[in-house]
Amino acid sequence: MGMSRTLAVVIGAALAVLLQVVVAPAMAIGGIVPNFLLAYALAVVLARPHALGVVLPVVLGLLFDLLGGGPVGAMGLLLLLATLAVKRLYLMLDNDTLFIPLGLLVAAVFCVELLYAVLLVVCGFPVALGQALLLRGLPCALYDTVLAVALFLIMRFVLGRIEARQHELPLVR
Amino acid sequence: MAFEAQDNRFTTLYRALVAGLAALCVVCMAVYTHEGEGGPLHALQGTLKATLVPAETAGIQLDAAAEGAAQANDDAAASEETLTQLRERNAELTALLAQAEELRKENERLQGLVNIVGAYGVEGPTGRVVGRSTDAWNQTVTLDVGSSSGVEEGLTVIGSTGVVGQVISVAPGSCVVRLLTDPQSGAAALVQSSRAEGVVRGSLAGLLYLENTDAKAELSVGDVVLTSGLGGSYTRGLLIGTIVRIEGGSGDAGRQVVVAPNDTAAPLEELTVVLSAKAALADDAQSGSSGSGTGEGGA
Repeated sequence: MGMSRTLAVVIGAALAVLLQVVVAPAMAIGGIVPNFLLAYALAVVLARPHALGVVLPVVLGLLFDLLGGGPVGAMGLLLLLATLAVKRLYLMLDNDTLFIPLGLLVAAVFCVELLYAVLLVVCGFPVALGQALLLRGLPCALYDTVLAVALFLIMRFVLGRIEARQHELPLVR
Repeated sequence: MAFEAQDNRFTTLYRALVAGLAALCVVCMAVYTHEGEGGPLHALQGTLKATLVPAETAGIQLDAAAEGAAQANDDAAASEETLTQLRERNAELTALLAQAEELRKENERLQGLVNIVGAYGVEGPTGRVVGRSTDAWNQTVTLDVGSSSGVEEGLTVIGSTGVVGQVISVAPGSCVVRLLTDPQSGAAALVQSSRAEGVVRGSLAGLLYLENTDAKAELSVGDVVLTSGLGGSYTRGLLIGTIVRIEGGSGDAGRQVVVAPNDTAAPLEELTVVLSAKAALADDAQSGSSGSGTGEGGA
């Protein structure tokens, strides 16, 4: 069961990278480019908390930094911390309704985008912190939230189907 | 007992992995911040961007296709009243087109004249925009010309009517251009009428600000802003834009001057990398006299 799920998660990650390079620039609204990698990592960790390890979020974050022009490591670090925190909170709350994962998803997306703005300013990005938060952090967070919710629903369905199919298989005659 | 020991070992390993990955990210950030433009992480970013040019090209075509689809959708949903309005508008536009054709021919003649005089005399490869920034914090475009065409880092890039940005990384077949509107870009500039010097900087809001000008300098809305060439970062004498707003008067140290760019990089647009320009010489020759006509856009 783990193998198929891992494969699906890795294929999804590759697709997210492709979408970030090809589709995201075309989806920009007033300079706000969506972050498929952030949305995907958080969506997967909430759809199936054990399906996403600690290496994949870092790899996705590093790829985001390398594809864009931000400080390499900033998004990697934030994705690692965010996925760990979200996973822990979700398992602690132990609530299977849709409200809890969606609430955590929105909170995590906002935290990552706002902290990314702070990290950029700390690393020398030449704008005031208030401007960075208002003109980029918040709009990006809103855009990514919509994306993350959609990806969460898709990944929940896909990973759920994979697990259901795997449970049907072990028939010994 | 054995299970418990194994579990503890796994937890320790897991924690070590998390700490290692976090440390890796922090080290990368520290190195990136301190290494400068020529460092290994910046080089890796440039290489990755160059590798992904074919994929980015697909994205630009997707962008154009989406625009076309939206237009087609609007056309298909047009009502009878809209169609009547469009027919009237079409007749009006046909008349305007005839007038525009006359103006175009006149413009061609004038353009030829300008070319003969060699106001800009720009020499350099022209490339098509094949990629755009994949994040919200950087305003860059990728051109399909690179070091094999003589492009180098730091060269000025112009559009049809003015400066667009500067080359920040180069690969054999492509280069990345940081747009003037990016907060990280800055071009030494001068106001054509008053010869006041300053630096034009971009912002997250997409506006250009003319900063570091002499507080006593006389500036007014409509003044043309050119590259001054100071510091050698941008070719001298190329048109950046015009002043559209001034907040604060002459003598006010904190006044804000907003410049509207004369050109921006649209998808599928062609841009020219300036290898050399005679504009600098022309501007030097005319700097003694007031109000040279160098590089009037007239777009």
